[in-house]
Amino acid sequence: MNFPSPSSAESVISITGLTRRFGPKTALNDVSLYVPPGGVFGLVGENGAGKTTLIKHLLGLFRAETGEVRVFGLDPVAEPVAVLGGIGYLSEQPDLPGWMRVDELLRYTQAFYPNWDPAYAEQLRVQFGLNPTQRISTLSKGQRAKAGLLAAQAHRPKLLLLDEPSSGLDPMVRRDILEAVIRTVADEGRTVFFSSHLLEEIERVSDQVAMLHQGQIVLCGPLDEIKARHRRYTLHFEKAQVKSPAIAGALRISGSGKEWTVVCNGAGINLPPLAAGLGARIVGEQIPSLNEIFEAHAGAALPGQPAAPLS
Amino acid sequence: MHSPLTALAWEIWQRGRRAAQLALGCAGLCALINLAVPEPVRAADTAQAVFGPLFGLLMVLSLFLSMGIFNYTEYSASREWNGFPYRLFALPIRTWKLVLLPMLLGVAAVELLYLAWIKLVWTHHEIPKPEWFAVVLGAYLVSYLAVLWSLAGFRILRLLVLGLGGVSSILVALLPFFSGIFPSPWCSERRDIPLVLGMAVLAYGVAWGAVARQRCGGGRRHSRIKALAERLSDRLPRRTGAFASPAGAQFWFEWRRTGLLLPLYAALALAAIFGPCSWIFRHDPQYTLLMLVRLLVTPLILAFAIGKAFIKPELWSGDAALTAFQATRPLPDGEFVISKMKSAALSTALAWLFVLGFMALWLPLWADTTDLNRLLGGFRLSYPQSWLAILVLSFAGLAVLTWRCLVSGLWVGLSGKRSLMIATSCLQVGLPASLMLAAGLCSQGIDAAVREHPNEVRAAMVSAAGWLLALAVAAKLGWAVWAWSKITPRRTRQYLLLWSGATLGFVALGMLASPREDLWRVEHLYVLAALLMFPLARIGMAPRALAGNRHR
Repeated sequence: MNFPSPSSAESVISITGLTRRFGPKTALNDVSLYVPPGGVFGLVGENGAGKTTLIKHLLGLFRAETGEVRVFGLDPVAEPVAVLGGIGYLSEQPDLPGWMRVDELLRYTQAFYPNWDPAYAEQLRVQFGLNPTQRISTLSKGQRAKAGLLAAQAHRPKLLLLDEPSSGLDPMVRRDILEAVIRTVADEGRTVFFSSHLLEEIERVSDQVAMLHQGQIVLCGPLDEIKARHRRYTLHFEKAQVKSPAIAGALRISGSGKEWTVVCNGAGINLPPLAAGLGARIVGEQIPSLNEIFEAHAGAALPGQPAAPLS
Repeated sequence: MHSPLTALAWEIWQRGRRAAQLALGCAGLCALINLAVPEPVRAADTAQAVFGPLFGLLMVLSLFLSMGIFNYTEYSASREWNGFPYRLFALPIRTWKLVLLPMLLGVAAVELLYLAWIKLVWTHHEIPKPEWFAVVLGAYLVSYLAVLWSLAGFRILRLLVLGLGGVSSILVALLPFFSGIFPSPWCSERRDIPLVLGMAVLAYGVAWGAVARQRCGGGRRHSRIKALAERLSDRLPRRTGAFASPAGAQFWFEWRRTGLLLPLYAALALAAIFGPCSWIFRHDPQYTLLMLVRLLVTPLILAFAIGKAFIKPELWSGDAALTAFQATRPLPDGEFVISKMKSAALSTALAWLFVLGFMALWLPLWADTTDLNRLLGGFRLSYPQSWLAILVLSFAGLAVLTWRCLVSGLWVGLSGKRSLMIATSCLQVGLPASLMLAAGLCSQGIDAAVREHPNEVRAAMVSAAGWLLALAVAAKLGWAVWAWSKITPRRTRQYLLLWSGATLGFVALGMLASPREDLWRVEHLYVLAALLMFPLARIGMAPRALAGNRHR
């Protein structure tokens, strides 16, 4: 599927035709993605959709089997130092060394990044309430995520890569992470690539969104544009419908009896005359949530295999 | 699965089935040899000298493998924990059953394997008192698991306790054989069997208590010993300044993670074994010589054992993959390898400093050096001009070999490929075992040839050794050219300088230490062997192996 995108020369991240297989399973299937500099790019998808695999390619932890991956115009596998030097990375389960103390982690991490800002690091440490002499193994999950975020952010990276960073964390820590995302974007020219299956988070902070479903990009573009393009209609039929009405071009049809909901891409379908032809009237028209859009697209991409429910 | 316990047993089998097949394979192979080799051949002196150690080696290997299968622990990097699988605590099974099941299965497996060895391989009563050994073996397995689980948070202490426990078990196993020398009631099987069984039951009780405490959250964090150890470590001087470079930071990381182990173990061995023994036997000149030899090989043995874990990206983890935390450091692959090599060098230097320091105190202060002085006198007479250079070069050579034991496997360990690690380990055991087997099978012919044509046989062996060594040198250099072709010229030059210096040292040692009257013209063998001593090609492979692990 092709989506409008900046040229690879302008992109912070440029992925072209990336395919990755693990044995018989295709984790990524011909994925092409271009992330422009500045702003927040949200990558959404259900568990197992391929988000972490995609991010590992960006970090050079996976070698592209087919296709091409470029970060800052460089191949992360061939030039890991140049690429990783500009990236701050936080994963769902930061595997920070448990034997280190917080201050040791910061000093150790600082050595790798010439742009490390000690004052900023200290400010974040105080803000996150981290004790510098505490061992990482004794930190709680939320504190560990904060320590990981601190280490990822204190060198003011050109690209902040967050791989489901707030998964399983309490609302306070999630708030801290989202604030970090916003703060990073506030620094001119910085980019955040944020993967999550918590769509309300993505909806809150993202400028652009890509939807990954079973290894394929099913939707990509500016969030406002995507939301403006989609509509959720509520149809009222005169007679109760036994089975789902057939509406060509609809992404998702759900409901029962006389009330049915149709999610469709407004640019691709003119629903009112179609509904009239089926003997239904449109009784409601709303902009669907990102969650509904995702579910609609995921279901449309692979009929018969509904997307896993997203929170 | 009919019950949770069956499911757990199945899980243990699934985890260890390859090791189990290998262990059974060792026993099966020896049983087949036993059946296939005719009795007259086996009765030959050379065959007995070869088959005995070969079977013994494979038996020990198979027993170690079976112990490894029942090493029922799981590692958690975030928790710094390698103990009883935490996930099992959520199962609706009582703790005593959770603990008992792996122990019972382990004892049953080890005893069955031992029985197979006794009945199929050692068929000529080569092992005296087999029932007694069976009891000790079972008890050791129970104690082994008890130590693994009880000291889950103290990995270094645990290794030490396991090592001491192993040595103690060997001593206990030998007790009945001392009855002729020390007529004591404690040297009788009748008395020792209930004692050993009682200790096994006690070990089970300890393991049960420890796992139960861990299950309710009290066994790990709130350990008073651990808290005390952490308080002590807090008092130790810590680095507080910033690192000068990424390489410096990575070296610190490696040193903290892996470097301390060898010096620590060397110091412990000196304090717990060599110190007391040297004092007890201070009036025995023969023992001084014997202990000196053991002392000098101790860092090598320790480095060989520690090197198996040192070569992995994470020493304590069972997983050989590079962690994302390490893989995302903006550092070239080669620098990771260099920091490991530097850490190994510092580790080796410290370990040898301890050993030499101990020697400097022990030999002049309380050792009986009569025999040693006589030996040294003879050595000085044989090499009047070069004895000091040979001694210095030998010590330096031992230190270099210790370092080599730590780093030569980096190209395997850093690759993250378990199959490669297993294959190289098998090769390290399999090659000598195959050679011994071949020698055993040809023993009659070898015995006869040596008796009838001793000079010709010796000349042929010298020639064959020369060719083999020359081939090995050629292969090493060829492989090195390929391995270093992808590494920056600056690093290649630096390492070549190091290699040349060390190799020149070995060559000089070989030439100086070759027999004064070289009747068999073996000096070239010393020189060729010296060229093989310092790792070259394998070190060149390490960054490439790490890159494969880092960019999968």
